[in-house]
Amino acid sequence: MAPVAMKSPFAKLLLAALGSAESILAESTRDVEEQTQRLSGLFTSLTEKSSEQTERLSELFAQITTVDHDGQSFDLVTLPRILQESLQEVTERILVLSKQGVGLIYSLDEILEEIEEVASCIGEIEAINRQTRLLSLNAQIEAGRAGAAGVGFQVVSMEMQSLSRRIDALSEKMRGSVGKVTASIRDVIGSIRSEYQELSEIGAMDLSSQIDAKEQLEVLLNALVARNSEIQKELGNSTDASRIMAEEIHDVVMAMQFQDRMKQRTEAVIGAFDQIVSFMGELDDLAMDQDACEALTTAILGSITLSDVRREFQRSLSGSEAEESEDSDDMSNIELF
Amino acid sequence: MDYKIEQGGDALKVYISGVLTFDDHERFKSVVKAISASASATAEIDLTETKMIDSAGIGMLLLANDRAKKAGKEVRLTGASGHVLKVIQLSKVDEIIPVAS
Repeated sequence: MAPVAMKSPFAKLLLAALGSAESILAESTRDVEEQTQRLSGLFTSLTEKSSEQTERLSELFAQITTVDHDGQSFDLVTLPRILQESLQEVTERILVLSKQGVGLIYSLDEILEEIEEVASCIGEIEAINRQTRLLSLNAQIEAGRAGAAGVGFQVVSMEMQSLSRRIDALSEKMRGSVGKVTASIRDVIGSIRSEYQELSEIGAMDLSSQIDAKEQLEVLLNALVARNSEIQKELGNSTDASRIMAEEIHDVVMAMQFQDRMKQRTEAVIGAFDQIVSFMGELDDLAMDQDACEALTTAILGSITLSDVRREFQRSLSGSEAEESEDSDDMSNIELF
Repeated sequence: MDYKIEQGGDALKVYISGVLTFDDHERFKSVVKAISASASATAEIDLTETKMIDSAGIGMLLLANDRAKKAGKEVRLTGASGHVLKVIQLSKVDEIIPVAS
């Protein structure tokens, strides 16, 4: 600001007031600029943090829905399905064993029936053999009665008796074998029965527990799927909210850049004040020089580039409206932001 | 287990009542034999009155089905409900033997 020469008290007062107003305006402009920049920075950081938060939520969700085991990652939703498949496999194996066990018993029963048939045949053979032995004994007696003529017949009957003894020994052996086979088969059937008894004791036979487990797994699976879809929905909502917030904050930051327009206006006012102060400093007193005042008006209006500020000054200084064609300069200044 | 066998129309009808467990395997053998020896091409095992069935019971049904197939016949299950139907579904027997409601 130009130094003030000797002036009337009013001129001094006016100059001092203009000087104070100029410096307060300049300081306010700086404050507003600083605070606006700080607010912009805070809003930008808020947007970034909100995005980070949503990202973290997504990561957390991904972590809580999976479990790691043996270097493999399992989705919690698939776990009940894996358990159901295992349960199904175990149940199928129990059924195969059950079917084979019953089938085996039926087959062994059939073999036992056949063996009983064989035993009854042996009984028949023994009865026939007893009859044969009796016949050979009778033949021997009859051959003795016949004397020399029956000698040959006696030899034959002796051979028959010997054969009958061999048949007896053979049927005795067969009866022993049949007894052993029958005992073995009965043992096998007995052990299958006791195996079933054991299975029954550990609850594998009654499939109620498997039915309960299957139903509970289904409930668990449905609950997990529903919870996951609920969380996904909430995450989607949260992401949408973050995006909308970021857009709104961006709009706020953009709106705050119009602070620059206020700065420019203030600077224009300060410039005008500066010229008035210089003008008054160069004059001895508040001369009523019309030409000098008009030149100052032109100089002031010429130094203002913002059209709305210039219009206001022109209205008060020369009593006329500014030309609209000069508006483009300040619009381009704003559009820079 | 108690059973009743009837010749109904073009199918042999077997009605099983009570519980069908391993203890019934000897009695069930008559059912298996009756199905295999039947003149009908189809045997219908009615489980309406069957209250409970264990894995051996299911095994016996599968065995009856196997032996019937070997004899060129078909087995169908009918009337299963409650626990019996759940066991049939759990064991996926319905994928092997046709089940009619």
